[in-house]
Amino acid sequence: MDICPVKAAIIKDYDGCDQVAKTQVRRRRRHSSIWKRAVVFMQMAALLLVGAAAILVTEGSYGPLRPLWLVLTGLLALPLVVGVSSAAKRLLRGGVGAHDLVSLHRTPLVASFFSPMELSDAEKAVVYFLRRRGYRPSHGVRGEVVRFFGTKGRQVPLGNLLLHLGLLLLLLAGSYSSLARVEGVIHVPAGESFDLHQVKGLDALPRDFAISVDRLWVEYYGQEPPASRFAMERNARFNGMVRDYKALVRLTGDAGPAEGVITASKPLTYQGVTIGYGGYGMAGVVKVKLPGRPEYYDWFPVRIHGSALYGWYNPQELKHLAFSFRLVPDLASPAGEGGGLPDPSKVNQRLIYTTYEYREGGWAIVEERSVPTIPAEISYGHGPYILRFTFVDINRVAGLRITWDPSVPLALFGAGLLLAGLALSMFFNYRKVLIELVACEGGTLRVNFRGSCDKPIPYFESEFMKLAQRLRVRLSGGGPRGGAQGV
Amino acid sequence: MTEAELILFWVTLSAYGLAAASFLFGLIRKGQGADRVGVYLAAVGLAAHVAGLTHRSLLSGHLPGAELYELNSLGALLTVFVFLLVQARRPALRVAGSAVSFIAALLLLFGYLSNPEISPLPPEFRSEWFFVHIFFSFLAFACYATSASASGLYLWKSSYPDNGFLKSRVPSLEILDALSFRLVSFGFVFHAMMVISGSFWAYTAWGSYWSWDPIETWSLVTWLIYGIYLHLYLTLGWRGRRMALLNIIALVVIVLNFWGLGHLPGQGGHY
Repeated sequence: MDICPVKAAIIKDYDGCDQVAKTQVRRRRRHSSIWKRAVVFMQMAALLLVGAAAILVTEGSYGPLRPLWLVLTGLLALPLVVGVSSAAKRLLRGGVGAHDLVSLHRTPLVASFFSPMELSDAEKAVVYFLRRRGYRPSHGVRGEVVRFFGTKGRQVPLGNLLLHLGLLLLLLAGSYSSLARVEGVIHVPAGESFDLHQVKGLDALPRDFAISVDRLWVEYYGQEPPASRFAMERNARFNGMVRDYKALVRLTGDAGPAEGVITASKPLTYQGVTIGYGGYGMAGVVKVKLPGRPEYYDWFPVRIHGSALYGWYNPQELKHLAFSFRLVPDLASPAGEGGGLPDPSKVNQRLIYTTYEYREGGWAIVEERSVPTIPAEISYGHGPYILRFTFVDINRVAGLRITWDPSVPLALFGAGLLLAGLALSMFFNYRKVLIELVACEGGTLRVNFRGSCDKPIPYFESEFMKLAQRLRVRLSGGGPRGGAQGV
Repeated sequence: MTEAELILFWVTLSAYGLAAASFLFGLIRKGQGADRVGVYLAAVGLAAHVAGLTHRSLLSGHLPGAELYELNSLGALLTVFVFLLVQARRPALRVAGSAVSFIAALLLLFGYLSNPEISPLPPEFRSEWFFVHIFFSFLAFACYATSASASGLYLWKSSYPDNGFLKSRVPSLEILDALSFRLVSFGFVFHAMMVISGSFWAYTAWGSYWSWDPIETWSLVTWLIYGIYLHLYLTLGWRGRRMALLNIIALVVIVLNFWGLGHLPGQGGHY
């Protein structure tokens, strides 16, 4: 038996085709090849451009580069649409055709031998053989040549379709998200409530409901008995370290009242709006005062940009300044007695305040101070101005992150399709065989057996060898049940 | 680290180191026996490694992933595991064992030198998605690393086509090429799972599925590079040295992404 991998020779030796068919095959192959290469190069270029854009977006700020991102997304989407349509076409057509065997797969395998069986018996034997080996048979006649195609692993073309479609949906979802997403952060003291539309940046939300933070607390290692004798809570070294931040939140809106506990890694969703934990700390109200001007209030931990002060006070020089205030637990002097657990409400807090100035290339720290107690007032002189920061109130505060993103269902669906498509197209092989029965003089049949696979050929080679050997045995007289009889 | 964990760590590291030496000896001396010893040593190392990480997880109360030591250790474990699976199916690939065992030992040592002490899981990491993300990231890395080892062998063998030693000891170029592709295709699926599960985790922890932090971005870039590799392989039919080279370059990008970017300032919520 002659078994050898063939590339170009397959068209020349394509005995089953008449001259017209041969020409069609050649033309199809050439056309397919040029078109396919063009599409693939477009895809490569788009992938590279998106990669480059991703790096640019990382390096710079997202906002100014948004149009560029959208353009590049469109560039990637175009070849993806082509990929989806061609995969769908191939899937609908069944992918069965002589040209597919020679043009879509690059390294087909060929075996050829003679059979003494009658044509009708051989046909039954071939169908039985293909079914027995898990190949889905289809039958065709071209001139005097009877042909049977067998396909296996047809989920691969479906997988290709799904994965490209999934990626396309993800890109669409990303673009939609960048246009429609609304988010904002608010620092809420325990016991206070607020309306969503009162939060800066959230007034564009199509939903509105009230959120009240009933309770805020911190869980520490060592607070409760360990869950098991192996658990790390037994390790006293970690006692007192933060295990989780929690907030009991009550929501009131059109969907009725609801309540839930938000932790640092488990947000709460209500009416499509996600409420997550953005931060926790002791915080308060800071008041900024320029002599002779009205007072400016903000929450801290905050970073007050000079531009906000400029908007309030108008002195041009303040535009280049920023001030941040944050409280950090003072671990050096825990309030717990005798080395025991520190009481979260009694842990001393240090105030760190930083002054920034915008210089070439970004914000530079001008001054940073850390004080063990919160002073009543901090003054900062800048040119002719003296800024006075007065700390009005101190309380426990949760930073709540409010997000509304209508693209999430689309993104989830796209991600699901992408994963399903990848699993189908990468974990399975699409195998295709062609068996041709050519009646020869003297009553014998010439059997041409060809096969190809979409994945590397060495894995298919051994399967093809076995198939060819079994086919030869089958067609040389062994005969299937109800099929050809032995000679 | 507890005493038991420390003992298991050194057993693991020694076994991987000895396995690397044994595979290398087998490669140089053309000894099938040395290869087999290498496989046994790697298996012993893997068993000790699994025991060590399990012990640590029971002590810490969480799956590996809280600090650099655990991440590197998990990466080493999965790399050896994938290699042992692949060589069971393709024994000829045992010659790549020296590179794989060496990479695993290096990862383990790097993690140990960073800080092997158990630390509590930060609050934002207390999500199931985080562990799914970590698992698939290192499963993908294991596939890519084994694939790149096969590609390295491909480049070596194709550079000296008449070398009798390479002819007899290293699998055929077709097999190496096919194996590299298969492992990359598996790694690509796991990589996608890693990115998607990471997005879920980021959403629960930071309220955003994607925030373009450098490691996130470079993870996407490496996925795109492997996407290019697969397109070139499957659609344009590229084979051979250029694909082997691209595979190795892609692995270098991954290494720089995870172990290099983490040391740069402003790398976001990742390590």
